[in-house]
Amino acid sequence: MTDLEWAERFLGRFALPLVHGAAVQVGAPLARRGAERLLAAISGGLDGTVAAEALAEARQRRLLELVPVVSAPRLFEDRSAALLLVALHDLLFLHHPAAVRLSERQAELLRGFTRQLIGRAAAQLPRVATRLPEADGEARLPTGAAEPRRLSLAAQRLLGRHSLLVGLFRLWRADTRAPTFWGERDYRGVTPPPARLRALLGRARLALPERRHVRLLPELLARRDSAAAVRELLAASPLTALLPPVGVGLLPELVGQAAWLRLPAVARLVVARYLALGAGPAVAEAGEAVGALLRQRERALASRDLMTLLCLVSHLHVCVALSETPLPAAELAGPAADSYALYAVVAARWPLLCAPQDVLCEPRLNARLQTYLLACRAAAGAARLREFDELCLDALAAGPATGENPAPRTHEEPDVGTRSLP
Amino acid sequence: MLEPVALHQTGFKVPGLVQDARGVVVGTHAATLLLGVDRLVALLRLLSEELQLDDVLPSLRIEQVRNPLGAQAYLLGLGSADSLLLDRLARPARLCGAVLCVGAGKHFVPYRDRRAPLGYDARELLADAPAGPADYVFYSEASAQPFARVRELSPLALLSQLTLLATPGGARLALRELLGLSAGADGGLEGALGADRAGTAVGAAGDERPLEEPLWLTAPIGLLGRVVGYLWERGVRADLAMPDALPPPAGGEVPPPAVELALLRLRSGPAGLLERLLGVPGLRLYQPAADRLAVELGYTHPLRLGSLTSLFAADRLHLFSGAQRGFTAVPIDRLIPIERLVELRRPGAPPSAGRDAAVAPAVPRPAAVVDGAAPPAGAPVVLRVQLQLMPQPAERGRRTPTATLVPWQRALWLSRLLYTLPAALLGGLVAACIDEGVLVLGAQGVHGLPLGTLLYEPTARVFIPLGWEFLPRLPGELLAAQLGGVGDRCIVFLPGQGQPLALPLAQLQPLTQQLLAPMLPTVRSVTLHGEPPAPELQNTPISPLSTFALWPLWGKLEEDKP
Repeated sequence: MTDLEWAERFLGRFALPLVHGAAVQVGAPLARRGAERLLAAISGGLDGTVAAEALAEARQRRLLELVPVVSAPRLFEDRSAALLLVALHDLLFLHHPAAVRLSERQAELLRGFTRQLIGRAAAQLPRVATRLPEADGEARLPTGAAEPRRLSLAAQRLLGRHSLLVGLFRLWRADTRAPTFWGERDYRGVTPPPARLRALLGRARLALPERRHVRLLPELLARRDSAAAVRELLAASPLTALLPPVGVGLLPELVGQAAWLRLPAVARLVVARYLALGAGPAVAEAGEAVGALLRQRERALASRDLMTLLCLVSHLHVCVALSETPLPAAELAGPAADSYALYAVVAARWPLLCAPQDVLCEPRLNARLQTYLLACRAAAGAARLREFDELCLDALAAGPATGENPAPRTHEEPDVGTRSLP
Repeated sequence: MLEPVALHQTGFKVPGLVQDARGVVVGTHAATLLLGVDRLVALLRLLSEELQLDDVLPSLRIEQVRNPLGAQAYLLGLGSADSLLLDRLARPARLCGAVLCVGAGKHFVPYRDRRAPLGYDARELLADAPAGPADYVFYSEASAQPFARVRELSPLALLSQLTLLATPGGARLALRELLGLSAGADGGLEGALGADRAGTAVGAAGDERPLEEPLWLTAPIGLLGRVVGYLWERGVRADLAMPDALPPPAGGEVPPPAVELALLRLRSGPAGLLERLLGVPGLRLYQPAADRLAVELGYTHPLRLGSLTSLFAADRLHLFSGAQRGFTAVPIDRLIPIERLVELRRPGAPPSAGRDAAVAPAVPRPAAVVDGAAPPAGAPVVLRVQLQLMPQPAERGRRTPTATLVPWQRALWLSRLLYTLPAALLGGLVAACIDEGVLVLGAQGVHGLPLGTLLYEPTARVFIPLGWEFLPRLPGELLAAQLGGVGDRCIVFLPGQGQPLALPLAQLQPLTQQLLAPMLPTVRSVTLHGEPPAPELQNTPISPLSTFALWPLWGKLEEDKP
């Protein structure tokens, strides 16, 4: 069997059903040989085959739910994304009933190789598109990161990976508990043998198998070893980590992916994902997540990423302020109050971060925003305002633990300097 | 003045414009400029069909605006930042010759179209004229036009200026469609009319039917007594809305209506009588168009009123008449059955009205009718004869069998026959299991079941064996009445049994449900609308004999296996 035929069969049984929504077949692990054969097939024209065409069409259909215009993503455009497929397959194999026959050493080797593949794919992410200008002198010149074409290519790559892996959130397995001669037995994702065979001498000839619907993602995240691999897998496809579908009970994971919010396309999708919760809950959830980051003792994020997150929270507040939503009540409690306090502090300290320039210049919109800000201050209360003011200053003005500078001045945002709190 | 927006554009000249998750440019508000009130009404007509206007009414505003040259136009605006909703609004706006614009505050640019799939932004903002700032600025390819607000027009004020549209065929055709009478039923309707003119009671059992939705009838106050008496004598079930002549508790003065009208709600009535009411001057019949809204029969409202119900007061009925603009609101919180309002007369006494006394007809002598318990004087002792089931001659026996009773000995054959029946026939069969066997009923006939005793229906839901008939030969209604009324059951006569079987219709179930074993589906996850189904993980069985098969360094990969 040639590499091309092998890869076409792999796409047909694993990748296409994962994207399209059908039966995903997981068999023996692919490991290094599988990854090499898949890469060789991509170089040999895998995208021209029927299975790859169908996969591209299915990926495009998934992406059209997010963006109005997008071309069908091809495998050769992002070869390392195919490695994520191999890694996911082998990760799922570790939950296969036959995986218990691997020795501890073999399972550890396989898991290590899976994470190696994921790391190789993560290294190919277009991180340059998220880079901010470095120093004051060159900051005013346009940098490579801000080129529209580069931004577009970066967003395209993120969308392509997301289209491959988004099925992971909804992946499920039918587990069957069936009576056998040796007692009750679990068949995980495997069709149990016929009842006649099970009940050769069985006492439960007429007992029906019990089927359960098990979602894979919670099971993967429950085991420590596979949870780390899944988190790395999501980090290798940042849009997937930032856009868990509505209804799976997950919120955007902002901690590791904050830098990607500097891509306009990504930021718009994340804002829409939050606003799908409703105006009030969106503000509360995002504010709670950023507030928790600010309260952390050890600094996990660079200052510039925290500043990006503050922009996200501000944008959500502006959306709420300009809509017909009623103003927040005074002296609130809980995560919503944290969010209002955060926005009031950002508006007082860094006014240009709190709203777009055009909104601030338009008198009617600005008047509505100022009314909303007053309501935010009243809802947060003086004590919470002081707490968040200190937290923000500690996190941003005092300098990050990673040695990076606070968010620099750029040509588009001439004033993000710290102001004194009135 | 406009430039198309790119997919990743970050800044806009027009304040308040943003790109939503799909990248489409939206603002907090949308507005469209219409050059005349006729186009405004046309757009509202299309919008009321396209979406539920109640949802957008809180932010909907209609304003009359004027440009610096003095030309006036109408501005229809609403608050929406949802590009999917705006897509739905843009289509009807374009059909009315207008362009949907988006913006916030006072600047508005056209919404996306074929040339700019993501929308537009202005090249530069129009500065305010020294004479005075404009309230709105609309940008187009060639120019930017400022507009000043002249006045605001509430949707209710607009509704009060609209006239109804006459429907083809007028009120009579509308009434027939309302009653479910087809064109072929004209004869029946005219027949009912003719019978009434001849002095027979109109509204016999076959003519009268309860209305699915009550009709509303308005009559001048002067005619109320006669109309109520007439309706009551014909057995029409109706209620009168008690007019409230008292001023409201707040002390406000209620302007008296131009014509004092009485409002009646008709719950049932013979078709012929309802049609005759249409011909009486001063009486008008109204058909419900939505909750608390009724439109005169023979007319239709330009807008779909069902999407505008939140505009109207809750405790009043709003009548839209074809003869006048706007609507009339009548309180309907107190409805009184007309039986309470009929003028009481002593038997044999002349009518009290002086005008009627001059032309009072001769009162016929009431005949003494006896009940069936005791025969009247002069009658033979045995008055009643028995209804008999008799074999009928072959030439009269060509009836369509609509039921069959399959005895229990043949039930196995029936179950095997199910495999050969076509789906169309099988879907129309219902059955009930009784002591005598399986009774199978099919509205379209049971030709496909050559089993058991075939039965036909001489009248609705009365079944007798094929080749038999009732003597005396009664028409359908009388036969049903003789059997004590059919109601919600079916009555089955079987040969050799003197007493028929009565079977409640609720016990009839589809034949397949009676005879087929249930097959329960596998539980799958529910997918949201428009989303692909969730992928299911299936673990491929791996041979327990081959440990090396698990290890790709030595074993074969999955795809390499034959």
